[in-house]
Amino acid sequence: MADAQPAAVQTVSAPTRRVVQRRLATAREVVRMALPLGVILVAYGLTMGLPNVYPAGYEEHYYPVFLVVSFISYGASAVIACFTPKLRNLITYYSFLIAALFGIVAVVDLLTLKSGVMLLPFSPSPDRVLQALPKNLASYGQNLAASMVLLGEGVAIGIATGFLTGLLMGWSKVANYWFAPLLKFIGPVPSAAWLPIAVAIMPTSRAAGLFLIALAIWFPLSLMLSSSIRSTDKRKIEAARVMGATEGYILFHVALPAAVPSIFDALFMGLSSSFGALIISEQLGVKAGLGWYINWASSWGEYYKVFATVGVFIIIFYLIMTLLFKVRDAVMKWQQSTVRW
Amino acid sequence: MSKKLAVDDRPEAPLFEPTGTHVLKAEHVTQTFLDDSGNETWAIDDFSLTVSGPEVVGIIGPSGCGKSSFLRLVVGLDQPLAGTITFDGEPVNGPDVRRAMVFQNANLFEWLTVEENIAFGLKANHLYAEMSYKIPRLIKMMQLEGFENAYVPQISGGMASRCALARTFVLNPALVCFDEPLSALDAFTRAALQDQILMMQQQAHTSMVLVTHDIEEAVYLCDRVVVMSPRPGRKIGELAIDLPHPRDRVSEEFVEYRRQLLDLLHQGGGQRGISASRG
Repeated sequence: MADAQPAAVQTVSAPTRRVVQRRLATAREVVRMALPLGVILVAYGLTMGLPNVYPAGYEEHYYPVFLVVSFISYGASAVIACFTPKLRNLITYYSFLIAALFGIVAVVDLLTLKSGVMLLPFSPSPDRVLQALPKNLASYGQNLAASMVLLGEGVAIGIATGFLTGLLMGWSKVANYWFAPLLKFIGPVPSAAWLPIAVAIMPTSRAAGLFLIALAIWFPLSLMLSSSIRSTDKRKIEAARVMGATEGYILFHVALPAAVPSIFDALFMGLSSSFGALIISEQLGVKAGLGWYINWASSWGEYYKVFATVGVFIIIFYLIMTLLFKVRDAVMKWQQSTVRW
Repeated sequence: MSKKLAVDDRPEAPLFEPTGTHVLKAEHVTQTFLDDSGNETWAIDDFSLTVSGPEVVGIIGPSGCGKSSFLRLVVGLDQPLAGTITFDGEPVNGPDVRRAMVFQNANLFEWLTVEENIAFGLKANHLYAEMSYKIPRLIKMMQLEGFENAYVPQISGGMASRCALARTFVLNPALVCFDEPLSALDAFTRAALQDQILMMQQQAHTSMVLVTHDIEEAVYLCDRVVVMSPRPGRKIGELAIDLPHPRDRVSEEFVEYRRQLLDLLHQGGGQRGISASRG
């Protein structure tokens, strides 16, 4: 847009402090974007050049391929970024982090497979971790699906009950009287403490897991929703009353929309603790899911599977949180939230 | 409401229906309120006021003289401690769409767009059919075109005030209470809004009770101005403003009315908090 300005305007106008985005990358930007490529090359050279000594004779397959794929995909993005300012801003911003990531992986490779400084089975080499997923694709797929179904059901129950008690407690003093102690005493107790009781009380271990996940969402949601509704700006409620709105209409069209920022803040907190509840319930009760898988793999001493599972968790939980923030931005066009992602 | 509503110019669908004659009668009203520290404070003492027909009555007085408390009684948000308030002969027991209120600082719903804010009262009263022809016209009258889908934090203070006027008048009220509606605006925007309030009043033939700090505003808008004493608020005087609209703010008569009101306030010992020389 900037370079479309007529030259005449630029000559008469005073010097502006507006940053003009250049179409082409500067030499400095090119060097910065190329840094991760250099690190990947070094990592590749080290892993191909040095002999595998721990265990001796181990054949690498996945790590070199991973490095080559990374080199090509990152390199292609960087080349495109030389001509597209938006992508360039992104890549130059993250280039040090990306370089550091590959640097750390290369150091781990040196300390494990190339030297044996870090011992098996607790410290697998990058190649072992990378092979866990493709070699056990079916079990990862099944367990991921089981985890997501359990999490989805638990979160849905938690949101439904949280909305119900939150609305009731926010609007009715009687409901607040009966639910507030429940909320204050049960809510802050972590899922891990409830697990034995939940398993004992609930008919199945799966139901116990659902209870814990739902509890993790229910607590922050009902707390934030009820307190937000109770503290709705009195002037807004009065404005609605003067315009002839009934109590119920005010609850759903004034108090609830005004509470939307708090609802999302509660969902962020609740989701984070529901991930914890998911893993705990899968490790101790439910016999399926990634939480169970991570426990099972570690009991067999297959720590490379444990690391790979943690990697899957990182990606899945990141995607869920990102999705929630996208939903929030769509719902709350009228306000920027204080919580950033 | 993402789709734009079409302007419906049917002659049988007037923007303001005649509200008929109506009388607000407040007799010997006494009211207390709880202040921030929970102490009961005497706000209004034996205050009487009658507003009949399409009439604009101003109430001026020092800060905390119970002007706003009185408006809350008129629209039915509070009940008086003593005395009676009737509207068309019926006691005021609660809010009613015929008695509207324009609040301080617009007080819009920030999670709604301009258009949705104006539609709020119609939706709350299930008057969906009126939305299609009333809202676009009011948006046009209040010069909010192009901002129908803007959210409240995105519009200026003057636009927010105009939006508040539109959402009040969309319900075709017979009486509109104004609680210092323009106090937060700059002088230029305030003058423009005053003309818009007058225009709405003249088109809708509503009565208005206008509470203000601003003597000039009272003289500019009102047919009659009631002066209240410092807390507890009592009526200490009344002045009919017999000037044709549009009024000239610097004419001799206008300045004379301002001076008379100021004198009344001084007699009541209520010169504090009054901006006599605004504008």
